[in-house]
Amino acid sequence: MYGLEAINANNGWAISVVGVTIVFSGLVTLSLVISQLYRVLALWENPSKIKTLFKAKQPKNQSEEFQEKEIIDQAVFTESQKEGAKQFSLLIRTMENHFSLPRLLHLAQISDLKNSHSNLNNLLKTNIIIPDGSGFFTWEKETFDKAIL
Amino acid sequence: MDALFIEFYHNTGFYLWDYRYLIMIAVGLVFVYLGIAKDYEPLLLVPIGFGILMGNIPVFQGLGLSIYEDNSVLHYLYFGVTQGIYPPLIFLGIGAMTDFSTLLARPILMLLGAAAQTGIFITFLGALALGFAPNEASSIGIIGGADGPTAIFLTAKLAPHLIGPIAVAAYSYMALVPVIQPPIMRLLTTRKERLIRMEEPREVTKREKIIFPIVAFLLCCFLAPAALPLLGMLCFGNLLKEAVVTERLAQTARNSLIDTATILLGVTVGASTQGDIFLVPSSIGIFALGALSFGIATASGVLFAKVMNLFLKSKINPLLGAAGVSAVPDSARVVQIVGQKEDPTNFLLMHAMAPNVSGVIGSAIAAGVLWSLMAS
Amino acid sequence: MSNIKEILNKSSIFSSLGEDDIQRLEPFFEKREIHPGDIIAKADDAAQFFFLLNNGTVLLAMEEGRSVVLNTPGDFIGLELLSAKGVYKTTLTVLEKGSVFAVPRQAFLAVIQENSEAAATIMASWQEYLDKTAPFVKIVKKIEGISLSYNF
Repeated sequence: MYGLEAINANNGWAISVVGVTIVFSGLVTLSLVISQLYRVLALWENPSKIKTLFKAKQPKNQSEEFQEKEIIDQAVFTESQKEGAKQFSLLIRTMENHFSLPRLLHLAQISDLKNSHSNLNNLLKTNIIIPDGSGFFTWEKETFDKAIL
Repeated sequence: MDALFIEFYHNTGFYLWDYRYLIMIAVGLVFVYLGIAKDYEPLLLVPIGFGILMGNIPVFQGLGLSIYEDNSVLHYLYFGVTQGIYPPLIFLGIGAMTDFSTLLARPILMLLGAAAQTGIFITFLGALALGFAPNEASSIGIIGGADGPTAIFLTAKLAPHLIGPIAVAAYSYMALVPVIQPPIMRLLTTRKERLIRMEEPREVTKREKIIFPIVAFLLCCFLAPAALPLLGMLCFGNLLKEAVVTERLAQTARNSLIDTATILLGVTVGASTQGDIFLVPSSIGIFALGALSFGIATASGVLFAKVMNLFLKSKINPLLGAAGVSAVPDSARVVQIVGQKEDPTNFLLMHAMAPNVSGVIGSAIAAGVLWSLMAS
Repeated sequence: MSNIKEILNKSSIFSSLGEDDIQRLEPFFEKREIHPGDIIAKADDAAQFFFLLNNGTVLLAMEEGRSVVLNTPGDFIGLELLSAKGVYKTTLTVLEKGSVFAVPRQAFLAVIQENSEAAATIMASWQEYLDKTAPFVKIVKKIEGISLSYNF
């Protein structure tokens, strides 16, 4: 049996429609749930957030201020360097928290990032990328935000 | 003494050879070549290619050498394929290496992963029309999911006699993602659409990442319980990764365990492509339908993204739809490459990872649905 | 900074050597400019040189995706060649323009083989240097069951 006859005989249309519907229902439900997840968590975490708001208002001690200034001083990026840094930040999101630096460089190269070596070096020098002590590296988001955004 | 030599000669591959074995040896060599010289999915093509060489040495029956003989070593190793053991182990490793944060940041992109699975069901219809039985048609359709372990898992459950051609077709097309997808993507999109820039996603918290695999597992497996072996292991692996306190287990899952399972799966699937069993007309049909499935999956994703753009304020670059096939991360890279050809400063890779990983979930659900529908 | 003697004195590996040993090594070092993107050594390639960093930044990529960034003048690269049968075990990619001093493997080996005291001093300093810059290297070795504790 071939053609439409075979499809009809084997209940093909119904199976396909049911299949596509279930796959869509599953992923649509999941996407709805996870799209609200961060709001729920934000509410859950609200008390601690309020605390941190108060903490943020306390005056910083001298060494903290000095360290911050030092990082920002180092992080004088040109516009093209900022663009490069942003592209690296996007690449890093596709990697693990503790990532391999050679792998990052490789990804940057196959993604045709301009001046990938120099831009990576800038990120290292400004402590936006720091070693984790086990041969891998981590991304310091706060430092990045201060220096680039 | 002459008789001994003659008897020995009769047991050698030179006496037992058949043109079909030679064809398959050539196919195996091409796989090894593509893997090593062209760097096409080397971690898969090299084991499968060498497995094809192993499976196509002509051997005489009774000595327990062929993968299809009950007492052979290869047969025991193949048990992990026929019983669907290796694919969930591979999924555990995939879970332990996948970062779902891009998906969590923009969950709507998950729909592209769902749309790409349409290819599976359209090909299912095509296979039925070509005269394949429903269980075989399901296994052929799943090739469009672009997920080797899922294709093997479902075929092991529904049509074990087709594991060889389906696995080889699935992995061949996955390796050819950079060749198959771009023309379809360009054909279905305008330059203006390819230039669309995506909004920068929000930051995802660690807590969200930890909760996601649990929620995804419970939700999807309640809906499609047959997806449990694959999705359960995928989500468990991801939980190990995100929980941090289980980093040691995650390391094992994403390194040694997945490597071991991949080696065993690759070699034994390759070895199952014995020329006299593999080179039959149905294999050609499977390859043709596999290509069709892959093409439809890519096109479905791209077209669905265009449909979504009709309703969305913040437009999606429709190229992302092609990443809905779950060849991770190759199809996401293809999106990046095709997008950058139009605008070198447009950076789509990270955004494409969202439909890409949701494609993995989608194809596992599709496999579960087909399995349960066929079983019932 | 371009004087090799100055660099050797600054290098944590060589600073412990005596004046005579440094004088013997000095003529073998040849200065080379390095530019971002240059790969000055590739894992598994036949190794001909050890390198001493003069200035600039070099990414030293090891097995399993691990790596170390070297940017201190005097950082030394390639001591694993003493045990690695003449092939590099790491890949060195230049991230920032600068220069290195290259010393031929054979010449360097000849000097330290002739002077076991110097060799011992270098090895001890090397161990100390590794503990400081890449403590994980020893862990890797332990996992792989390799007795030597250096992997650069």
